[in-house]
Amino acid sequence: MTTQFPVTSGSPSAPGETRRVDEPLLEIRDLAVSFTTVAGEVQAVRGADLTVYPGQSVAIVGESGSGKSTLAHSVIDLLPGTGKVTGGSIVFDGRELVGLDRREIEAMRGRDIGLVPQDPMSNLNPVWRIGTQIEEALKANGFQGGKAERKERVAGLLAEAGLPDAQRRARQYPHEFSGGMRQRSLIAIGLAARPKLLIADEPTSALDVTVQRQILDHLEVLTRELGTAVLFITHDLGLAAERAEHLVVMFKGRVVESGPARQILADPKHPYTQRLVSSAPSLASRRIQVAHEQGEESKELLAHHADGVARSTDVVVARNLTKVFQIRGARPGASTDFTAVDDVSFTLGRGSTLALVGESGSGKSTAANMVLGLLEPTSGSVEFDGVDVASLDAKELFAFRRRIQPVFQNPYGSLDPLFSIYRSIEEPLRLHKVGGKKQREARVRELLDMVALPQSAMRRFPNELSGGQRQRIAIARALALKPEVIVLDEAVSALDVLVQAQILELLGDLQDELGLSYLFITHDLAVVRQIADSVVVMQNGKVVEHAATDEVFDNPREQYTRDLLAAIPGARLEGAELAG
Amino acid sequence: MLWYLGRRLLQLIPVFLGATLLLYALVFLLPGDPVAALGGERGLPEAVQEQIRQRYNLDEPFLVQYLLFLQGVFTLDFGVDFRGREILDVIAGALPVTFQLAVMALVFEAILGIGFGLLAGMRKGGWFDGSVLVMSLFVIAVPTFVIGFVLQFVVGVQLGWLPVTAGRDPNFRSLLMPAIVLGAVSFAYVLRLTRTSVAENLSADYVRTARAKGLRRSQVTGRHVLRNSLIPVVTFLGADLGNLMAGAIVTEGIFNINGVGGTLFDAITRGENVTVVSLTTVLVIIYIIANLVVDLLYAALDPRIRYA
Repeated sequence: MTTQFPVTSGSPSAPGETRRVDEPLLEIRDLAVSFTTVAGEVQAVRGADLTVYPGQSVAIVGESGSGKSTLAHSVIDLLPGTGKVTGGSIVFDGRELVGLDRREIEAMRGRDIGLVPQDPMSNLNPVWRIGTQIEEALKANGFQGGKAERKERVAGLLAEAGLPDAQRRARQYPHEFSGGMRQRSLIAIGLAARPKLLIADEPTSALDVTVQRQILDHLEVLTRELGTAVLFITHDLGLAAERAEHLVVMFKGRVVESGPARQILADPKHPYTQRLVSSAPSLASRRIQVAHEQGEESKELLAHHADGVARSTDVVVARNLTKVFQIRGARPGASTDFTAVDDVSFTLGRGSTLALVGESGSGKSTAANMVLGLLEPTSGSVEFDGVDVASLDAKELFAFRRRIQPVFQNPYGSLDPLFSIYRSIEEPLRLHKVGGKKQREARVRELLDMVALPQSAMRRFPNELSGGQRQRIAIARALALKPEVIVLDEAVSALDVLVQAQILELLGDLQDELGLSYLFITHDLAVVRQIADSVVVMQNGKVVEHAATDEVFDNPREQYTRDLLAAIPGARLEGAELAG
Repeated sequence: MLWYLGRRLLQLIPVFLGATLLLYALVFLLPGDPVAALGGERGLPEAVQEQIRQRYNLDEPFLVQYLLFLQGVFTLDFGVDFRGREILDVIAGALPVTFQLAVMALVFEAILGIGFGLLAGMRKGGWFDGSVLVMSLFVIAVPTFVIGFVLQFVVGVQLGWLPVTAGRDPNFRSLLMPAIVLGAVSFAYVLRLTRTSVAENLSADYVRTARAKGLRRSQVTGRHVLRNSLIPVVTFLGADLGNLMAGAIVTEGIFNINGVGGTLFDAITRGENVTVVSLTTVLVIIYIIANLVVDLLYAALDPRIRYA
């Protein structure tokens, strides 16, 4: 991915926090932002302070709903919907921004303050060419020069953002680009008019980890060369600490702590920051690794303890699994074969956790669906407790489904919004005709206890619950039939870090209690470190590496595994810098 | 692309055969004997009836009649109706007027519907949005003939701004009011569709990106909101051309226009099978072609759509 720019190794802000003598570039004082809803006014930001000096990189860290995005968007007056600044001041380059009229703020956007938005999939207009969309940014911000020069500049910007073959790329449409390429285009747009400040709103959270790292490295080099100040917004403390000199931690609309990144990491003052530091998966996994390298017993840092469970037998054995999909070709009748899973074998020991790790398109979910019996393998077999799943007839298959249950990624999509929580959890019991009405109700209560939710939750509906609570419901539903194996397909990926940590802990406890086996599908190696006993690394449908977790982290044999490991945010942080 | 176009055009053949067969069967099943009805109260002599039946192949079984009809279609000789007029002339006399009327109605509903819809969607919840919504609801709720007669009386008779009826030789001016009446209901739908689509697109992420680039509001609206919002509207408009042509009968009646609607109604009451089926088939084909054009426009508006 690197173009003409050298990629620096080691820590990005080696000199650490330097006292700057210049005037602040951006100074936010006592800012309040609120949204008008049917229920009245909701305060999203309450009295936040923030200072960014020229050329400095500052990160706002917080979970969803903490007001971090709202704070950043209020700087360029791009608050969504009914959002309004209700108090305080935003001074940029000596000029008060609160209360500017529309034309004045339009003139500043792009030219003085650029934005790299969060989701590369939805932030480019699908009906315009990439080049056209970058050209717009040049035209709107007073680019001097004719059409030919403009085209040349567009290609230059794309190349600068790390897209090879920029001339041709500029003529393509967003849907012809991968997520990483789109994000590079958005960076080109954000930096097109050479703003003094770039607001980067979770610029890579939607991307695969290795791509994420490349893009952040590149952005760092670019902004340093251009002298652009960067305001990062992220939920990942590890990433923030690695990429920014200065951290601002937000919680429920307030800035609870701010200071030099390393200082906050090493010595968090506010209880919320302390919780964040202790449970951010990227940091937690780094801590385990550091402890492990120092030869310390790191078991207490792990989310679960697999050693107590006897692992005599393998409950799931996948042998040479292959899945070929036919893709419709350009002409009628023409089709190409796409091998999503290619000769994949692995074993899941009873009472243990096996992680299938890979980036999007690696075939990990397809493999999981074959284990669940939801997809038929093209060749190869899945053995469950010694029996080939393909040999089961309809009745046996129905019985098999009781023994292996899934939990899916999106807790917002996997629960029927019209079903009460009780009905959602009870449904599998009813379907498999387990017990009478009374017994089923007792079982639902028991399950809610297991996942640490109040029994009163069963009368509620999914929309009344948070993402973490919904995922607990999904786990309770999966446990209802007392399965032996649970397939967790990115089950914690959509959750905030603290909630993620809680769910991982819950899963560990349940495993100890019930002797469950987990097949854990994830793209996030940081989580794997905390929960898995062994790891299967997949790339392009093939198994790259299959070994015990410690082995993979200590001695990764394949280059691809090393890349994945290096891409975990916080991997560059030193052990001494980690509190706890 | 060419593959796609060729396949779509080939699809016309089975649709044509299916539509004509179905229509022919339906007309054939209609109760009553058209030949007997020709004679009125006194009735025609048996011999004359027999002669007419032979001339129009009415004594043949259904399938033979249908095949004879197809033969006529392919040789472009539809024959004559009971009054001795060439059926081809009858179609040629009715179709252009109705087509002009439908296209005028389409242009009216597209321009005003999209314009009003855009303004309403941009200021969703404002007074303009509110009043336009109520107005569109009113237009949808009130039957076409009520709007037609009221407009005819107020604009035509009382104010005298436009001709009251179109008459034998309709021109643009005399078709203006009928076109507005004909397009009124669809105008309301286009307006609502555009409004919803615009309001939704306004909060799209790429619109925020466009604003963050520093584009002026008018540029954001024109380049990023409007074009994306038009995609569903174009689909509706294309399908609507067929509806307007077939649905013009009430409007044509009010404004005394000698178009497809009146001709078709006449032919059905007289039991002129060949006229009914021919005219309806032409409408079916226009409908299909309009839809094909919509699909092509769709691909032009949205580069993600590639036909193969």
